[in-house]
Amino acid sequence: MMVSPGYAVYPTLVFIFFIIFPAVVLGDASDYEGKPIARIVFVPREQPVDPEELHRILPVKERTRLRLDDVRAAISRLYATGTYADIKVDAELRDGEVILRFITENNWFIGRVAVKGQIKSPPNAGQLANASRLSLGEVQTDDKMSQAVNGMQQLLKSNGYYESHVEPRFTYDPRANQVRIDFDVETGRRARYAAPTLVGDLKMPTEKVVSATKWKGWIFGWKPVTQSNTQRGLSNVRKKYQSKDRLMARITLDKIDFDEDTITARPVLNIRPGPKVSIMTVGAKVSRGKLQRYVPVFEEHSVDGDLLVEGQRNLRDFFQSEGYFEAEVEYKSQKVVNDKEEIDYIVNLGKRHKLVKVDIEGNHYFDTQTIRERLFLLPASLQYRRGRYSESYLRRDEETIANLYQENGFRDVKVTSTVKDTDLANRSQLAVTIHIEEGPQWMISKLEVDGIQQLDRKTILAKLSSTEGQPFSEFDVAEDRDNILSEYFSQGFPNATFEWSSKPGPAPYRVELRYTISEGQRRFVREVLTSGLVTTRAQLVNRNILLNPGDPLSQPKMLEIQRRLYDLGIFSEVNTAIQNPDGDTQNKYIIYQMDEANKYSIATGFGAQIGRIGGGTNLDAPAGTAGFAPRVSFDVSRLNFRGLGQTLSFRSRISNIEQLGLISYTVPRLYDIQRLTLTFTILYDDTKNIRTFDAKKEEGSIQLSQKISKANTALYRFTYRNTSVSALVIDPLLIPFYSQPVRIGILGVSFIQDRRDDPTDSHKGIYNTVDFGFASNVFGSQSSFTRILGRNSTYHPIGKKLVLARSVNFGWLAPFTHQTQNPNLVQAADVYSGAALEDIPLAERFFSGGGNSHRGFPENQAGPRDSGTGFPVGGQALLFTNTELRFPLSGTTLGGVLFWDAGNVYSRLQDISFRSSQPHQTLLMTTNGVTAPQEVFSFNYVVHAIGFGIRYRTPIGPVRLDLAFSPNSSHFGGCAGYSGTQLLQCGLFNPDGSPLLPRKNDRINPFQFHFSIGQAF
Amino acid sequence: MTPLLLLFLASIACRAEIIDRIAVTVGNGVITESEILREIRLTAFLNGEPLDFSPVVKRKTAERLVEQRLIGNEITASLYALPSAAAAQEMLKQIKDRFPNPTVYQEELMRVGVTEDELKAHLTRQLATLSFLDFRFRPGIQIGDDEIGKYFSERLAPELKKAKPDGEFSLSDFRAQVLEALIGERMDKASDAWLKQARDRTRIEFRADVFASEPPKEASK
Repeated sequence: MMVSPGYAVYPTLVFIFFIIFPAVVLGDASDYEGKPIARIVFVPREQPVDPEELHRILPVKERTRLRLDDVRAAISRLYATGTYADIKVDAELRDGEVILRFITENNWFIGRVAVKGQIKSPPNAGQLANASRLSLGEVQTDDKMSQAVNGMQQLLKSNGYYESHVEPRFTYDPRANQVRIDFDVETGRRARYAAPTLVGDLKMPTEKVVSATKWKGWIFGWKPVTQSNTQRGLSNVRKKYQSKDRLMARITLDKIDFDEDTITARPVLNIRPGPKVSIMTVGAKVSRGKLQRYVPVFEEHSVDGDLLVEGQRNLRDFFQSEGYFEAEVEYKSQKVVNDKEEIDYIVNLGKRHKLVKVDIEGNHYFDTQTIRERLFLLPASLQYRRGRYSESYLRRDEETIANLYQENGFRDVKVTSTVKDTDLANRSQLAVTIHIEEGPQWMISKLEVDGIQQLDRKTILAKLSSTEGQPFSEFDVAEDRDNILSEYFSQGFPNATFEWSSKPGPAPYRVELRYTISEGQRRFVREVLTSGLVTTRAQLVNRNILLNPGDPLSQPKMLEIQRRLYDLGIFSEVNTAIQNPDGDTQNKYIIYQMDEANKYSIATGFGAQIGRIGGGTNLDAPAGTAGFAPRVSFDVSRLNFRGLGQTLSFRSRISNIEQLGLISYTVPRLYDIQRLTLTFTILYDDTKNIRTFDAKKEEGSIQLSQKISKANTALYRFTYRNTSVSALVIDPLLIPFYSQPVRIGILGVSFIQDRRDDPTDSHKGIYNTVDFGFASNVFGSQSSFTRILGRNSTYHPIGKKLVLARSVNFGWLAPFTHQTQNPNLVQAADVYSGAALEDIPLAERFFSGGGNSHRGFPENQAGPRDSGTGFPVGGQALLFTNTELRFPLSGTTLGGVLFWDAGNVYSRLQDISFRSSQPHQTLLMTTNGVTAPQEVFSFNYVVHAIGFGIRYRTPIGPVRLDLAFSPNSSHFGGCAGYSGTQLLQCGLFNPDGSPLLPRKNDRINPFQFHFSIGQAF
Repeated sequence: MTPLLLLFLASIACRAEIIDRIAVTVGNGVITESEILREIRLTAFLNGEPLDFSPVVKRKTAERLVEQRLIGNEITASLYALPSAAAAQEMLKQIKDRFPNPTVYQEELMRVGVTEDELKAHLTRQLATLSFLDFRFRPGIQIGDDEIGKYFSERLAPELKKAKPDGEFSLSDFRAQVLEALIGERMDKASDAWLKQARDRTRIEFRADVFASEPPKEASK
């Protein structure tokens, strides 16, 4: 906030005035002692502390007698509020009474810190602001300012700006005692490196070291100085020495000499190469890669006792994980001889074991499974072929079990173990038995809670775990402490404390508990101050501020506000702080400082699709061939459109099987309702992912999304699209409706219930979706039908490692009207195969199969096919089930699945069949007056596929490769030839009854592979 | 408007007297100028010295008060036990006993301008400080025999010889005295180091205007 200079300087003027015309310096104060106080005046009159609070905290009051001790206390109390830089008190006698004046100078608190000027990154403005180390809400002092300027200049220097100039500018907001600090930065020219000066015994030619820095480029000579270039240069030199086995090499940057005439910076490197270090293992073979992983000397670039011991421990753990449970590792370091130091890890492997059994006995309170799932020891399994065992693991497990019991009141529990080693034909098998002596369970006989005064006692007591009749454990007490304090913190008691004590109860193994709460002073919100809004409208931010003046100062609410502001998606940074946090005042300002994100977000991507997507319109391969489709995408979004947090986006994707362009306009929080989002979309999509035709879609839609709860979302939408079909590889004359552009107007509702633990790799939970669409001529649709598509998926953990996942998909397209089929054109074979359906336009039908639906099919290859060409024509119903067993293969990153997919796309709902063999028969076909027999297939049966897949875990979801085998994959008839003029000849006969194009009975390859990211469902 | 305001302020300023102000800030706390002056008076009373409100003495006194404040903060934060009222009363009695009679004692109090209550409070603070130093630093001090022997032979024995050239002095006679002296030295060192650390982590600011000039004699009473 800019303020007029007159107003801003007023308090300062008054203060200066009192300095120029001082009252007698510390007058004879005792003259005033005991005199009645007529009036208390503050200079300046406007004080930073809330007037009501000021009156409350001041120990001196009007109409009382003056005590100098009270004046002293008043100064202390006022200063403790943190809002004053200086306080003086003067007094004046008037008619035997005292007029007391508090002359104050206010503190200013740091508000927004911004950096301005022509700054060529690095460093960027944000980094410079961070380098100032000025914290939001803290007192601004001269020391902090000079520290800030120094910090920024240091950062600029380390990035080659040696002639920079940093000047702070202040804008005061007296209402909130806040100061906005803008740093004007002039960077000047960035220096370039000059040949570094090397100090020390290099042990290699100078030019090699200089070259290793990579500070000099091939084309443009010496590179510009940046902090990262400098650090990288040092690191490169260190690596160079390490590659020569000088693991202890120390490379430090002593200084950088700047030459202002040439604007160059000459680094001075101090190099201490150290001796050549050779690390080897004796007694066991360990690859160099493993040595580097387990012996931290390589990573820390230093050889010392601690690191060598850590390496010793790591190696021992490694050998133990390999079944050498008794492995011992020691290191031996030899003195440096001839510039060489040898370090040997001496390994005594001992026998190799296998942990075959872990038994638990003596447990009554907890069942064995509850204990077992907490253990680190693991008997041999597919994942751990020799089991997991070591002495330290065993100790750790004993401790874990003891803790579990102690947490539940068994204070005297004892956990011991015995290990039995059996030798079977040179194979040692270990069996561990863990013995538990539970002892008595201590219970709480009485709980007293003292000190709850300002909050609701019942609410707090309801949160406690340690109540009468419950087991006594310190773990529960700690939990109660956290719950109580968290309740207090959220209600504005930042200084609340909790103490507890216990004493023996009236009966054995009974405890009387006492909690003592000290609430401390309650803090309230004085006002919420926001800054940093440039294009964003204040109303958008204010709607998300949940705290109002007078509310308890709640830290959780402050963080909730910060989260909500981040969730708007328009701020790159939202900082929050309490102004003057340490000041002893009851009412506090809360500050939110926001940095608006870039208005435009641009993303480009390159990728490829691999699968059975190839084959073009070659009639030889109706089921597709393995293909590769490179893909380019370009997305641009205008964020925070109109300053209201709305988003205008353009997305595009171009590959040889799809060209897509999409413009969307998203209005989040419609009518200020957090859960409603409105989206307008215009789409152009030309796709060839169904092999039978190219579908060109022009679509406009409007969708309202309603977040009903955390798990449930409803979507309401209306879509209007014009779909045209081209490159049709089936006979267009056979089904004319197929090949014409179709307009569809469809009103839809979707419901999504997502209770999965992790959407990208679920281990437990449920996922349900139902999508209902209604297309009618009322909406301008040329075809009228209803569309239902539902999915139910559940995920069940089996033990700690296995997951059983299952899913059912069901879809039904129900036409309102039936097209009349031309009896002259429709063959019995087309009816039998399901190809002759005209009720639903081709592009609206269900096409399915592939990596995310049924892995026994290539992409979109399930269901009915054209009897002539063999290409898929889609269906009006679908039913799929998928079942997967997911299990770990190696560690936590590599996993495997066994799956079984079943189902198909069916001609109509009534055609859904559960038979597993494909129906087929030989029918007489008549074309051009010639009748000939032809074998035709029906596709209304369940196709099964079993298979195996591997998953490699990545941050964006598992990378997936699935291999499927379908024993009853679909057979179909087709032509051998090419599209174009020959297309019409497919399925026709010569006068002698032979087909015009050679007929070929084909089959979808029973073996399919799918490569993708994310689980199948 | 502004000239009128300035005139008004001038008239106020000319008639009023500053009765207290911030002299030193110690973290979130302050030491006021009146506290420094009171400390000077109390010190003068206890040492039987004339009052001296010179800037140098004020600064020195302020430094001492800063240390007391840092110790006081630590006592409060760490819940150290405070000395009993009886201990302070006993110390007060010892001070009173230094005077020939109560009248002289009261006259001396009046001379320096402090009350008995202020003196008692001062003694309580001193006792608290001593008690804190003892609790905090004494337990950690270990003195070896060799150190005691060295102190005796190198420092105490020469002093004793100087005072009584013909005397015979053995370590066993002075062992307790040497031990106490060494402990005292160590405690001083440890407390100095602790105070330095406490000063480093606390924002301490001396107000230049308070220490720049000497207050008029009549005002300093």
